Amino acid sequence: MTMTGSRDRGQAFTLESMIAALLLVTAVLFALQSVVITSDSAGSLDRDVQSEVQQEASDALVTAANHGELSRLVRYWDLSEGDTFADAPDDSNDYVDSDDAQASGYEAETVPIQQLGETLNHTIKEGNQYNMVLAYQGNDSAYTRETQRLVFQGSPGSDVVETSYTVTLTDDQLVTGPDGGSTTLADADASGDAPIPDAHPGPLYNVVEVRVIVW
Amino acid sequence: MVNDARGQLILIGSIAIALILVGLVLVVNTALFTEVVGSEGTVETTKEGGVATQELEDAVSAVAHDATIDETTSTVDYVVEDELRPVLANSSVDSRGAFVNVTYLGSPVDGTYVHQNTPDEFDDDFDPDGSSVDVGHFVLVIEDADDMEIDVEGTGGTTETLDIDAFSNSVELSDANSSSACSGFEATDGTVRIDLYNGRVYEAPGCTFDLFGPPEAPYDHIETNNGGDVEGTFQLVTDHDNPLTYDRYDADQAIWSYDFAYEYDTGEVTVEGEREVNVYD
Repeated sequence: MTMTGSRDRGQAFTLESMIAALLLVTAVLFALQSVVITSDSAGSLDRDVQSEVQQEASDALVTAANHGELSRLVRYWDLSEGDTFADAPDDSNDYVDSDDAQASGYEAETVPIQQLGETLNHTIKEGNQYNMVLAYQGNDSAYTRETQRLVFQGSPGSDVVETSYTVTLTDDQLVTGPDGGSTTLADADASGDAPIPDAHPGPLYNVVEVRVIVW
Repeated sequence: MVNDARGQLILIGSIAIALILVGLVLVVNTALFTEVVGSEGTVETTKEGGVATQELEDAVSAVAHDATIDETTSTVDYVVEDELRPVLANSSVDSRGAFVNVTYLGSPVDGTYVHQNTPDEFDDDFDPDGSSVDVGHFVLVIEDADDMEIDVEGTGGTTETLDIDAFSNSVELSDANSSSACSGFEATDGTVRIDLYNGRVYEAPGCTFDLFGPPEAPYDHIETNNGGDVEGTFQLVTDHDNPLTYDRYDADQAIWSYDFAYEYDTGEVTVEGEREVNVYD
């Protein structure tokens, strides 16, 4: 018996198989590259992680507010130094030296309220950093907004999340700094020692927003 | 024997598998995209509305407490609507782009504000005779620190004692939960500010104790031992509705709770309602 057949059949089979393989590989590559949520890479946070970190930081602030610790923090003034927060490492009247962008406010572990600094350290995962800023009304007739850093760990990166809690201060609350004695917020403002001004003529002193920025 | 159609079969089969893979990817991606984009904004805004409501409660509580301490309880509605409301509205728009509104509705429930505003001895107990009370605020400012005890007896007879020991300019607090709750902190010029209800000392930020936790409210007795050896001031707010029962210290009417209405509107979600705020919760 003699085997017969076109010599071109083998080439046709090969060509067809190569095209099939190329199609399959292209489809698999397309499937692997098509992702809706970019996974964590090069230090960035994906949306789920961002949302989780924001919620945990918010929970830490709410818990501190429930225990009165957030209010004590924003009233923790140094009356002997004047116009600054107590135990601040920076000696100038500005809590964080504006000429030194790397200067820190409180070390997170020594934020002078029960556990908030430690809670934030545990909440914000390793590799992430945070700043804490106070925003409040300035001491003038027009509604101007002033800010002051409490914790500064650097300039935020691209994937930043922010949470905040608003604390209301009244004239008759006590200054909580170690040398506060029986000094009320209104007394401290009258003597020029208050880093947060009395922005209202009545019993309302100011409304302070405590912001935590995480990246 | 060679099957002439085998190569074509392989090609068609691979095209079919490739199309199936691409279709699966498109379907899954669309589902994921819809789930993430469709739900995230609303969930986050709703959570934000919950926090904003708590902030409003804290704000109206703070101004009510200040009116109590300042003995101007009749002006709470003015402070809430004419001072607090515009400030909160501006602050919220600035920080979150949200509209906030708060309205005083009235229905105040009276409490009693017991106080000693001029430094003097603590030579009497802090409770009204024959009545059990709930406590919302209790701050002691000791101007001349010395040894003193404060006992709190709750419903059912549970008692908790706070020992305040002062030597030289150093103060130590101890309670039954630990041998020494706050040891060796310095009194500034002899002054120590103790938030007895929340268990905090302003001179020692890391110090905590629990005086009102173990005993169960309402409290039958709040007593001092050796209080006559110590001078200072204090502020105490209870839910007792008759200041006249406190005949040993100065006592005035306090605001224990009242009704207010609130609204929080971001454009995506509106949270509004009316509720009774317990000023000392």
